Amino acid sequence: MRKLVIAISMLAFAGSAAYADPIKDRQALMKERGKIAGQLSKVVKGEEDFDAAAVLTTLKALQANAEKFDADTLFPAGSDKGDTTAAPKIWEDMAGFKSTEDKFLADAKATVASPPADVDALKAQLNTLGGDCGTCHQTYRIKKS
Amino acid sequence: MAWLKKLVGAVIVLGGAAAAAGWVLSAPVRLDAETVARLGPGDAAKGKRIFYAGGCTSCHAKPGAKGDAQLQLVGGLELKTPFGTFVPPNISQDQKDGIGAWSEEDFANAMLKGVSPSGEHFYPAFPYASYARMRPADIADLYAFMKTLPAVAGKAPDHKLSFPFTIRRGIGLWKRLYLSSEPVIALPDGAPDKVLAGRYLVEGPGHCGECHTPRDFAGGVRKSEWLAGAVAAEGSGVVSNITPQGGTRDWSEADIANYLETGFTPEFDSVGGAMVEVQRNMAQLTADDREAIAAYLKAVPPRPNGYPARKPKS
Repeated sequence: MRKLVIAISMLAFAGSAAYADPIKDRQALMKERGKIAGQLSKVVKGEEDFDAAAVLTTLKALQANAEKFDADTLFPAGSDKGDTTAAPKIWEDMAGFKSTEDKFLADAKATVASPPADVDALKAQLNTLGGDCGTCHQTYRIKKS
Repeated sequence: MAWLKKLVGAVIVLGGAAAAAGWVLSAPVRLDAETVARLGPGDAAKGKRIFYAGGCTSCHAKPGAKGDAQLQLVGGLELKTPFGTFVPPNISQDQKDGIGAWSEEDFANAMLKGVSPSGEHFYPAFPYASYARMRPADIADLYAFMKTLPAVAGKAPDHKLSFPFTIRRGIGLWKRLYLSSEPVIALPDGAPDKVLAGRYLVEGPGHCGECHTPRDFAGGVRKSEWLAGAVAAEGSGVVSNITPQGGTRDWSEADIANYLETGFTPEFDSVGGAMVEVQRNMAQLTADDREAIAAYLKAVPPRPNGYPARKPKS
């Protein structure tokens, strides 16, 4: 009986551990972010027509994505191990890491607060946002393969 | 014991001869008069393009500098490599601490031959092994552009290297092995102008191969694995394989050009690591230049990754 209880609790523990996988969660959030940026880029590149309302919806989705980014939950201590390209620098300089993400959130909010009226305005905004991606990935991500 | 004396004598003579030969072979070699004559007066406006193609500011600006401060080429970044820590010097127009007192010929000797005005070898962390493939006229234009940049006082700290890399003279031997003005990739006759233009930008001023190609034990670029990617010489992680067999194999030329302009991959991941600064420099070039680079990268021989496969989950 005792063995069974232990086995069940171990299973439950393993289950919850698999469920709360910050590495997978943060990768999913970044994947979604990239997808949204990709939609905006199609408009900038002229592959899709500029539709102010549709662009605003996409920008709102980007802001929602940025708001979901919680460094404490997604990058807890110890989650530098495993199948991740997160740089150790994140945990060495958590304040700096958070401030680059805050800049991205602020820039995403600014696009929703003053939505672009034409492709050129969108291009300028996407450049700023893309620059934020680069600034963070420059320091806080390691390329492994 | 006469034979022993003879042996000692022979060793001394041979050793002396080897030392003398080494001394001669390691001597700094400056540009010949014919190349110097081809420098001509530079055009600063054209030199700006070369400045961004070369990404001078990424290593020579004060670490972390943004915006206009990136044109203050005061040096001081630390490049931590297996040979020791290299510190890019002040190359601003300051007369004393920078290169403000250099003549055009001094500048060309540094860029094309890796030799300082006082006749010392520069360490090849300064990527003159790539710049050696540049046209003298472009060197002159770059010199003219650099003249328009501010003078900033302050000497950067010295390199911190370990023996035997502390012996600068040894670089003369290194240059005999690795310094050449010939292109790395021989393109077939009738190769499109675009590809040739890209080859020049990538192999010369862009010095892409310095990070994207693995190095041998002496720190020379392995030309047989040109652009195959490498374990990062500085920092951690790897640098991508950018041959048509690498991670960019499914990218179109337009994808490569767009990545260099915007920093977004076709999958909408973003540029990262040291490439962030490089991409920002590439964004300053013309669309034609970026397309030329893309065309060349599609034309180089495909190579397997020049770095070990990623370890399975730890």
